[in-house]
Amino acid sequence: MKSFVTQKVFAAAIAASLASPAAYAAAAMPADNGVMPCYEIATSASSTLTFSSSTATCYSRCTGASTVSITAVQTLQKEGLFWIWSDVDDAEWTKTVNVASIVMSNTKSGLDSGTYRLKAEFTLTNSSGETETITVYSSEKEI
Amino acid sequence: MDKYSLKSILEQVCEDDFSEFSDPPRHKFRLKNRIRIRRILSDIKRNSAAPAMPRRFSRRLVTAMLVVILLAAMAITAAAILLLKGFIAKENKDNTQLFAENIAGAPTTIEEVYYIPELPEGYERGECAVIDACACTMYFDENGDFIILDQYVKSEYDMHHDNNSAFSVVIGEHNGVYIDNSTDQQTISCVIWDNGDYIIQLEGVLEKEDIIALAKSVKL
Repeated sequence: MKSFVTQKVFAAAIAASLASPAAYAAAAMPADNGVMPCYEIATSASSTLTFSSSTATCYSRCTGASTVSITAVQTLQKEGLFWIWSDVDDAEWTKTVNVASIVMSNTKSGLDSGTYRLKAEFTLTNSSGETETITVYSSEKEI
Repeated sequence: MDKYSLKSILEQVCEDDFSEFSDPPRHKFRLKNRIRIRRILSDIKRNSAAPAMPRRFSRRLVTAMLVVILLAAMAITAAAILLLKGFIAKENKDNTQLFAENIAGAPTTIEEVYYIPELPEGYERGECAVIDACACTMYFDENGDFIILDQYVKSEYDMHHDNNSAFSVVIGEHNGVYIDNSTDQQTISCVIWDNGDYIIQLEGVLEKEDIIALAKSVKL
């Protein structure tokens, strides 16, 4: 009986805990209150890695405020021993644009099986001459 | 003989009589008894070190502690992962990552690319990139102001947004998120919504009302 009661208490606690994020359903993302660190120039950025058999498609995009140029460097990385990431040979691409948004996609074929991710490093320059570099990783994918 | 001398003599006599009993030979208990004595002494020592708690109380205390720890852990997680209608927001050091909340049954490839049928005055279509999981179409005006239309399969939507104010909005019949990315120099609005098949993101140098109106016009 005691065990049953204990189980019920735990079940109720877990249910209450899992329900708690729902309380944030109407909440906003962190407010720009000057305390939380944020991007200086960039407004949004993403890095996406997809596979079709042994070929990877690397897609990255970034947008900035009052931005006059963006340089993006895409690097495909493979997970090695002890979870250390290393760059895949001949899988680094660079692109520069003189507008406020950049998108780039590249492919790499003949990849071995393993876990991969895409690293995208964006360097944004705004109209005041200030620069910001941000790095965005894709989710990890296995082939 | 005074009373002190008599006392001294009596003490001496007493000591002589009983001295043979003050150092008796050590008694050797049998092994069985020695084990019993050791057990009893061990119990006494344990009970004196920590007062015994009734078993029922102990279990309740442990349960309560575990519940408190669990709730605290979940509260921390809840603070880091927020739910905006249709989206999951994960706070990072200097940005917030948005993911689609419900990806079940959605297409896994881009079959057709959405576009803006009527652009604001002065805008022209720029670069467009399409891969199997996402598409991006850029529009610019002569001042360099931009409108960027992104389309993602739901499972691949993983966008890092600057930590700005965000609010739930409705685009047509669909839940969405509005983010105000404005700076001192530029008004930038971003709206993201789940149209049932894909996650569509529209970001541009526009006021909130204008970008929402434009979002409602996006079609295949």
